[in-house]
Amino acid sequence: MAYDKFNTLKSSAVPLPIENVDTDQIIPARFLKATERVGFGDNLFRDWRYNQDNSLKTEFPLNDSRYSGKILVGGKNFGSGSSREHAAWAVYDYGFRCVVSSFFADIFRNNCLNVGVLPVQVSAAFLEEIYTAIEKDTNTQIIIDLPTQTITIEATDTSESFDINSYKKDNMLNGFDDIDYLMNIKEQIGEFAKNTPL
Amino acid sequence: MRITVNGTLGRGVTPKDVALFIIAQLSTSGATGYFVEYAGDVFKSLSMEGRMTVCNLSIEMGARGGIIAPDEKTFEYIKDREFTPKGAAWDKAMTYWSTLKTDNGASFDKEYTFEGSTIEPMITYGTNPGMGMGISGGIPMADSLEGGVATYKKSLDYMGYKEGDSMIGKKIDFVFLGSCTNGRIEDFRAFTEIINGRKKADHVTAWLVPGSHKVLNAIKYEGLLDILETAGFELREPGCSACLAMNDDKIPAGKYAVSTSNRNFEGRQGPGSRTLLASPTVAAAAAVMGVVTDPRSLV
Repeated sequence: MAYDKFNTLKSSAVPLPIENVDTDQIIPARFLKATERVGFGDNLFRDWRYNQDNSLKTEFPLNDSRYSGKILVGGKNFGSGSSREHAAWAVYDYGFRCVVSSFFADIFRNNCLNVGVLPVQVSAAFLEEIYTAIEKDTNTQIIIDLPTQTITIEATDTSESFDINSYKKDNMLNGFDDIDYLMNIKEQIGEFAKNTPL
Repeated sequence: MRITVNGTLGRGVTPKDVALFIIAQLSTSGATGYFVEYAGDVFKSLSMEGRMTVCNLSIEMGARGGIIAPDEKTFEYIKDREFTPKGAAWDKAMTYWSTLKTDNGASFDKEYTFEGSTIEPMITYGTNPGMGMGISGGIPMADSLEGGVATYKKSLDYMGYKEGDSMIGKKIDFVFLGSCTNGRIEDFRAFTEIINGRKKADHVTAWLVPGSHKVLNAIKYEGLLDILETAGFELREPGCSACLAMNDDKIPAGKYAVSTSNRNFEGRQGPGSRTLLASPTVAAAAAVMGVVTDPRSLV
């Protein structure tokens, strides 16, 4: 398994109500040179979290002790920019398992699905409801139910359903990336190869 | 998605301007979920280098990629290159490749049509490639845009600009010519045409970075290097350079760079750097004048 299985997730959430969050903000290019996948979380939103002298920017939501949890709630067009997988790795490595937004950049969304971060696209109105709920209670619980593809704000009991490609959904439920998926059906692949005339 | 640009381009308007114009119309997410085909007279008239620049920038409006139907120019460009088929294999390939175009009457999920003559030399004023404008215009007012006022104002704050400001005359500190968007020989020709007979502004640091050694050699072979050096410029080694600040070519915090690359995100060219995306022609005009300048006033 490439990452922990994802089934249901109940967590408080970190609000990031900024639109067009690009991959250079998620992980600046100067941190892309690592040869292992771990440690990118330290530099997630590096230049928004830290001043140039490495002191914390205390007003940034990730540095605000009132906010915590495994769900990041971002503005419209989240993840635009480059195709760097490191952006999705950094989100995962920091400890997020789910990003909620009203619109995702295509490649970022797919990278997330490959590395164990569930992108949940909701309506603009529902996104506002989440921000309002967090504003009211920073510890408000958001429930992501992958099998039924629903997201719920516990306090108000309002829900919305979300879309996900069925292949990627199965992979998320099993904690599989594409290689894990192939390894898991290795026997069938072998059978097929044996029974298929060349 | 099909984007058609009809007519002809005005003086000083380059393929980069066409792309920045389209992205400004569609926004950075306007083509998300699509693959874009570019069609119309303007793309037919572009060189292969120009077409590459346009297709390269498709991702900046969210698209998976961009294509332009192959034509005689395409085949001429690839003929006799190292890895293209030769002899009978070439003829066979040509027979097939000539069929690789959209059928007449094909329908698209989405279509846009623009008029080439309405496109000006472009420049960006904000922190995503969709925040571009004709160089003679003013920075749009926040309330003239739909939604996202807070994000828009945050972006202008970062750039140190105000709504309604003119971009012409804004002081710049760096010029970067290069990247996969504009690091081809044609881009160096366009840059050289503007700076020929002029001098680099003293306070401007210019990084001229060919996209490859092949381009570097062509710059020398065509005599462009002499013109550049006479004007006070020097070439750097081919590579990504200041496009994304992975190496030491970083724009310092707060400084302004007119850059021919593809992204003007916060800190893209170094922490705190401010990027103005533009064509090689606009970059050259800025390099010699030291401020954002309409290149049409120099040719």
